Amino acid sequence: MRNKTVIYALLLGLALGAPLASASLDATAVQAAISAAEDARKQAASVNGEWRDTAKKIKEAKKMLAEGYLAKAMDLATVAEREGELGYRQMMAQQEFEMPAFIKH
Amino acid sequence: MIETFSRKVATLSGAALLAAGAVLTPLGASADNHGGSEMPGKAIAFDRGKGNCLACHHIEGGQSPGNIGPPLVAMKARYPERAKLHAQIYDATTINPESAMPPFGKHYVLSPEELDLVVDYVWTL
Amino acid sequence: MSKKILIAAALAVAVGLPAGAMATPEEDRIQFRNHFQDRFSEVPLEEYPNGVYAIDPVGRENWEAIEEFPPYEPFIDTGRDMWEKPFANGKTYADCFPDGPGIAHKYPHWDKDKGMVMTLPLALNNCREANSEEPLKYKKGPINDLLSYIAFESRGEVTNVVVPEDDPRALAAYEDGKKFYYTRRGQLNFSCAHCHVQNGGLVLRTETLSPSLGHTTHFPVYRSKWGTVGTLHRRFTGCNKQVRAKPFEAHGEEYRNLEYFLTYMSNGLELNGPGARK
Repeated sequence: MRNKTVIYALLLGLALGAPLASASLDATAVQAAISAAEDARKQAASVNGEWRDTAKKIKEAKKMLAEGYLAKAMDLATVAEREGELGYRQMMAQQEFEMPAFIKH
Repeated sequence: MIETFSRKVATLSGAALLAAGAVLTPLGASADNHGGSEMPGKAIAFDRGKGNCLACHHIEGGQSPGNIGPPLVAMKARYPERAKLHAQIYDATTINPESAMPPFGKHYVLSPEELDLVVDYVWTL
Repeated sequence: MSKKILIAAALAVAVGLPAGAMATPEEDRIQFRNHFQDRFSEVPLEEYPNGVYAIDPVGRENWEAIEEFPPYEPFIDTGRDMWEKPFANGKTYADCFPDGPGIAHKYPHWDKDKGMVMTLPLALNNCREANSEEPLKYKKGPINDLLSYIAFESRGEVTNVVVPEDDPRALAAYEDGKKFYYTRRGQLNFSCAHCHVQNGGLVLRTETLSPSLGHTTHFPVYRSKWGTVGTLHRRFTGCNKQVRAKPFEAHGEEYRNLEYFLTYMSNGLELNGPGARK
């Protein structure tokens, strides 16, 4: 009986995609992930390496956090941080200018 | 911050790859004879926002392919080892630094799971 | 004037730029042109201002049909009115540009006083602001009318970008634009050159990639995709977005320097704007 209730509650939570599902995450951790993503984005931007959708993802993460969708917010922040890091590395790997061989004569 | 984060991601994606590989490789192998028509990787390969392979490669049965990359045929002959094909799609610039092919794995254009499905599919071509 | 360019300029002076380590703009241009002339050996040089239609015979037929009733014509007419209509203070664009309106071939150029690359849209807005008018937006809207008229009046002039040797900052700006052009960017990791130098003439889905030689001659351009005329920097923005990179500010330093390099590569080619493209 009791088990059934728990299952129903879980199913309901899943169906609504509700904050219930992310009860194990706390808002402080998500906020920290969003700050880390923002730092990574800025670092990429500082070398002209920001990707197209990173800022949008951070904005969306903030919105999800505000609405209580912690898991979704965490996912977005994690992806945004990774994009910032990759964009930064992409530019740092090309600091030394080399003329590509496909145009050499 | 960045270094800690990379380790985290590397561990995560490694685990995901292992998990995905364990589940999906047999699936890919069993679908060999069907030319991949029903394989989940095909939809990802054809999706313009995902693999978008047709933008540059001819694939049998695909509409309006580009010709920037070689046609995707005889893939098992060209890549006897699945891992080599995986590496090529993951980041083609490690093999040819001037390759124009986007690094689908390295830059997470595809998730590790999606990449694995695409490799399974492309390997059947 | 950015710190980056100042440092690059200072370095260039200090090191004296060892010959051979860095090609001169003129060497770059010859190499760039040879690349395309080897790749499309049948295409005469004077065809490159026609962009992709220099190398795509099917697209060319459609284009020639479109050019019989040019979609950019109304923009030229509106632009002429803008050019002639006095500002609130009674002055006109002609007061800023006494050689106008056919002045497109004088841009971009190195502005020694300002220490930066001056582009035509930027100069037009400087003129407006000097006459207490609001600056125009750089990508969409009325600036395209004005630019269409100026481009039309400049037809037949020849691209002739100069990197003056008496100011190392000019060469630094050129080199900055060149590096931008060859740098991989965005999630998809393409440089401008990957599509328009390495693979120019090949087909991406249904579209033939245009060769970069001649890219700057026909702006502003009426694009069927846009349904209107747009600027070169709007096109830069679109390219950057396509490779999933965050675009830069129109007529900010990055795109100005890119325009400086890219236009230099087309030196010697005739201006034929405004153009029409798919």
